[in-house]
Amino acid sequence: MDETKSNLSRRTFLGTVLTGSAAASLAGCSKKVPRYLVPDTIPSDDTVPGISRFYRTVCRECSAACGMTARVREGRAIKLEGNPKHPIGQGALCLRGQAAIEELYSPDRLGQPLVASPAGPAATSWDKAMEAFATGLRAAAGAHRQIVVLTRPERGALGSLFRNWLSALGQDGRQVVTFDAMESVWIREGARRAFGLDQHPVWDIARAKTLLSIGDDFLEDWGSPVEYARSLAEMRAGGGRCVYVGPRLSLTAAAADEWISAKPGSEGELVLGLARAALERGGPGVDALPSALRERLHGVLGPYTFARVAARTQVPEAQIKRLAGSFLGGRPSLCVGPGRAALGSDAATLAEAVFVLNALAGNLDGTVRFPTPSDEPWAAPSMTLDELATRAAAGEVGALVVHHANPLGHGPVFSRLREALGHIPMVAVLGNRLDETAQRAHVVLPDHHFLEAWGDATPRAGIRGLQQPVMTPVRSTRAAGTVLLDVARTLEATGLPDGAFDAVVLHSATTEDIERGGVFVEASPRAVALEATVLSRVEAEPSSTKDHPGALSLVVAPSVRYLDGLVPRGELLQEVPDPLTTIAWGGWVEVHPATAARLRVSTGDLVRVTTAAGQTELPAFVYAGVREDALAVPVPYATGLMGANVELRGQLAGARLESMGRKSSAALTVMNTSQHGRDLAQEVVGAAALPARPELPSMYDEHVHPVHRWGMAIDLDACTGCGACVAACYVENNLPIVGAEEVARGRDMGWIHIQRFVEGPTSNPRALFLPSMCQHCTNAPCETVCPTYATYHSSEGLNTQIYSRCVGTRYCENNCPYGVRRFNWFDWPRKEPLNLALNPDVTVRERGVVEKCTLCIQRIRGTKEQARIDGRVLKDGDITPACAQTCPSQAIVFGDLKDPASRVSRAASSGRSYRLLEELNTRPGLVYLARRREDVPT
Amino acid sequence: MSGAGQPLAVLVAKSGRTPTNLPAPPTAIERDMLASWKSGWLYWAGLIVAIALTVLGGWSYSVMLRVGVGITGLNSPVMWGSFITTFVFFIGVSHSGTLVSAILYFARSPLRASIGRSAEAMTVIAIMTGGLYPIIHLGHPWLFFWFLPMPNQRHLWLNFRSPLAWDVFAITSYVTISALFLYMGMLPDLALLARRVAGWRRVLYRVLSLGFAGTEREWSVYERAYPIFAGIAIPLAVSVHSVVSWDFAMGITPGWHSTIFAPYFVAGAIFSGIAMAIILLAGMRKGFKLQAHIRKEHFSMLGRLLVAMSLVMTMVYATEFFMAFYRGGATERDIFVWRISGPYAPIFWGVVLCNSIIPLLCFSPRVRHNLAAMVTIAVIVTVGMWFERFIFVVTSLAHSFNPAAWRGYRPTWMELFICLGGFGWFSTLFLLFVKIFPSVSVAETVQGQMEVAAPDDPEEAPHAG
Repeated sequence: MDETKSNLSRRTFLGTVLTGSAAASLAGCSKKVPRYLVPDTIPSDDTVPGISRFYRTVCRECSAACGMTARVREGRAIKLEGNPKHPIGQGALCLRGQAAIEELYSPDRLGQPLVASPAGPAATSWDKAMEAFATGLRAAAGAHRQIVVLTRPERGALGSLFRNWLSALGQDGRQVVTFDAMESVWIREGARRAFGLDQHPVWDIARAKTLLSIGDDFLEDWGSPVEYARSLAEMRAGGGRCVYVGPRLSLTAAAADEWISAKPGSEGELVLGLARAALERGGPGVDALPSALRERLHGVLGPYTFARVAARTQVPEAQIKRLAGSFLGGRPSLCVGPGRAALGSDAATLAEAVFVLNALAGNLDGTVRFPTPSDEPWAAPSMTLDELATRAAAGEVGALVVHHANPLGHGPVFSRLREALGHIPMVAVLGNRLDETAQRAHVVLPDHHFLEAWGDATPRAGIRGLQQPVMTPVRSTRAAGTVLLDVARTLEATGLPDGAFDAVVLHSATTEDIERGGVFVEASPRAVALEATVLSRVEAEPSSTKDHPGALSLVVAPSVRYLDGLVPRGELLQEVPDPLTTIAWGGWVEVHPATAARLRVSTGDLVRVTTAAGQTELPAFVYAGVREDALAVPVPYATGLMGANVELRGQLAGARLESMGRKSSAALTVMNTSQHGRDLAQEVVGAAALPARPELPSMYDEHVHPVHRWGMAIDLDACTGCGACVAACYVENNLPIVGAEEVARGRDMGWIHIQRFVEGPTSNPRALFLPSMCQHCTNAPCETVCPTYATYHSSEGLNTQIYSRCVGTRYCENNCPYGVRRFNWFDWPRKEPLNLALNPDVTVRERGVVEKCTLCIQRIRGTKEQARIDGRVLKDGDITPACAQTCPSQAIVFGDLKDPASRVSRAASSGRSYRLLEELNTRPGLVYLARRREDVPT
Repeated sequence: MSGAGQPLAVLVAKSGRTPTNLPAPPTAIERDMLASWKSGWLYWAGLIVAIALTVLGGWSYSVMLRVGVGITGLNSPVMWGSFITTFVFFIGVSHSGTLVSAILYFARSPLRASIGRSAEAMTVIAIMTGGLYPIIHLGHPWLFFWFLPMPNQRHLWLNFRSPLAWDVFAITSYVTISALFLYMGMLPDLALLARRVAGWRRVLYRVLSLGFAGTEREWSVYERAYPIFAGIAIPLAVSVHSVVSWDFAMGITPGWHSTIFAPYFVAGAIFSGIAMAIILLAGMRKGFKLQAHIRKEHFSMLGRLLVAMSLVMTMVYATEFFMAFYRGGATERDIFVWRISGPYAPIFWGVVLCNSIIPLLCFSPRVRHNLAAMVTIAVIVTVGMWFERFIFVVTSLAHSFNPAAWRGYRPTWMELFICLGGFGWFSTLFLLFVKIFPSVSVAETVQGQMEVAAPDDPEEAPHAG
């Protein structure tokens, strides 16, 4: 036996075995270890895994250019928030700003240059693409033809560069066409006629006592929606009132205190009627007029008596008198508009009338201001789109550089340009998407996403937001400015700065400016006075009031989701439902109940809308908030109905509707418009308080909240239903996009739903919005029925959901009276590289488990931890869930209900506060403040 | 027969049972029982259809396991649908078996000898079917054992406040006692028939009879033990369906949150159980030529029970509506108005027709003695009861507190296949049971024949065929 005994001792044996297996497993691991765990956006010793960094930049989703803060984890931007130091957004972002992160990682964003080939655009290398671009430009210059830049509004370094670049290439620096489908050109024209200024004014909504909107959907129409929503809430909280005149109860009209549904096309009568009243009443605005002009205006405005206005607008005379009393009674007032919804044929004259009304009411230099214009090169006069089309058709244009503009996306609207493009030998597109215009390009040079590039944006004089890259580019893209500088060097142009575009931006910015997010100095206003020739083009009998017998007016409604009305690109923007109709994915046509009954159409039926320009098939949505003689279609889906309507005017006469006799697959998220007397969204009249409710007894032991009891207050009076909170929640909490079909089946995964109820008589409806999420009840019905304790009440008052304990009985959802819980019916995979946008602090839920709002528990825990590390006491306002953070009207407040001094406790003790379904005694941690409404006789 | 003074002979004299340890000529029932196992084409066709349905359901379920519960028509807010309907339905079906059999036992009813065995088997098989559906319905069915109170490293106990936890106890208790009751009742038959058969059945019966020899002592123990099981089974049968009803009644969902639910479910369960018993007995009578033992008068008696339970159900429906209006809550009132007038109204009125009106035909003796009519009514009631459960599960969820969350529900084909699979599984197990085990109690029949007078129907005389 001894011979067989090995020298191998037990220890040696174990040691060998362990070393061997460890080596084997390490060898196995090494292949899977990624080479770069952390991308090199910033020096690696600066990046701490698990710690977020924040970079100030500017949102470029629309021309409002709100300040933005990007949250970056491990070198990847994962969440966008507002920049509190930026005067436009003041820390808030809209739905679209929240969704911008999706575009950054979108698999559909262009990732490499393309050149035209007979089989369509073909991928190529940057060298070849740049060579093709340079060749095209050289040919244009050689043939003595013009090089033109077609760009979205660029007011800043890039806008200046376009002009300098053209000059350096020997071209006229004014050959820049600024294209913005949403631009209110008629307002500039109105200002020119009224005051001799080609400028858009600044509306100071917050200061107004009475705000009158002439079809101006300022919460949706992308002038500056975040700023306006905040100002409106401030104004109304300060006792101001808002009146909306237009054919449709839009989001803006719903947020207003009164909606006057004047007959489409008659808005001008109303404005002139008010102007006449202002003139007769007198005051500083009238006194400031030269006597000759005053006499002239008496003559022009004389016919617009209240009786005539009432007859033309089909609005009761008493209502108009009340409006005049309120508008002229308390200064400063403000009349904004006209917006698209009020635009029939003569937009500029209506805009002019609005300016006259503001001048007579004494609002100039108060709520209507014209800031001193900039003397930067970008402010120089430029070419119009029409001019470009004419020159191109004449063969004068040798090369066109298109920068983030897609006029061809509007279908037949800009059809002249479509033909003209064929005459241009070199069309280069610097953009993000292979859109309709890029498909016609000879070379496509993909630009960085704005979160990857340097830049700046000036939404109005005095405000320069700085845009800095927050991460390394996701794809092989190049900054448009750098591409232009590079190609100019190839062409041996002189007079341009050396290096990349970054240096151009940074040239005039300090580190402090970048950390602040820009340079903000409000420009001083200019003194303006009415021109002597004002209102000389007013027609006594406007043609737009002519009736088309039997036909309906078509209202092209601006959309809070779709900006310029191009067919929407991101999935998140489509998944978040439209607040008014609650339809996600796809379009619809709004039909008045009486019209619907006459045509035998109900919500969800497929109908055909026909205008002189074309026809389209859409699902019907029966809505008392559109006039009986009108239909409303959201912008993207009205493209085929508008014809060559370059201004995208919102009123079209002569539309017809017919039922297709079958149901559509509309992705409706709320099937019901009435709250059936359930008092979910409550209202108070005037300054009244809600009746006190007795506390109900409970058979359960009271939950003990030793330190905190987190809660939230939502002010329905401030909420405009814009849906920014919904989008913020999707991004923050890794909510999946389920797609049109599943949303139509009732499987959307939103943790917040903007529930919309239409109350009041059909003749004078009101739309109420109720942001609905988990109510974090103290006596939560969901908690008692879960067999596995997957949902339970935390010591801080949160109703928590533990995904790994959930087996998916779905009993909790059945027992939730608010219906806010969501079940993962499937796994919802994310298309690469969209998974990079996932928030690493939040679990990605697997299929088969229930989820719901957590009040952003990851933020609560993170902030508490940070306070502990810093050795300080948590104070009110330290913790902000994603929804409250982004709310433009600051309707959502989060805090500790145990702290009587916290903002949320103060809101909870307001006379307007109530909790949902109080009679069930669930004792929610969410408090709602009732919407205030006027007791208007109807 | 054995001579006087021997223990078995005493027993025979006392109970009329044939001692099993003696070779005796087979009685009529034994012969019929043995003959019933020689099945005709009807049996095999039935079995093939049943297995095919099971496979269809199994395949559909495998798709659901791979893809997700999303292949159903369920949504927010209708999170429970046809699976829970099928669960409640089969638990209801299970009801009549053990309960009826135990009640008949205490009543010393002659009916029991014929229908008791198959009714008890129906109970066990129906629970085995119904019990699958709450698991099938789960998001994570592989974690169903988290419902059991097991010590575990997660230090998590189950939530005893949840009615779903009560379900687990109620159903496992009921299936345990029902299976024991069935097995216990079968013990003498197994011992007896082990001597009459050859092959695998003989081995199986010998093992399962646990050495029961029919001695006096064995019989006396047996006779003392059997009523205990029967006595436990009756309250348990009432409790199990009360507990299942609390899955709904303990929730705050209007339309569910009602104290009438427990008696309502028990009554509904007995009702549907009787209907299912009629269908199964008719099948056995036809398929196994057991006309001599499952007689038309049995169907007539079941018919009387059926009409009585139908009246109870009608009363319950009326009470539910009365309470919805009497209580004064708008939410509950709206649900009941919507139930009878909304998109589910055709189903609701169909249920009323099936459960409250058509069974009234059983008041007529002519209908009760017409086998085809009885089976038709029973099928109608069975369908009606499935949809009755569907109506209260779905309409209450679809029209709850928050009008902004209202949404309808429609099962998908895959979902219906999984439900049909349950019917296939139930039928397969039942058909296998009657093939493998004596489906009519031999011992009790022998006993019964010594007490009951000759049948009135010549066709139903023993060995008429």
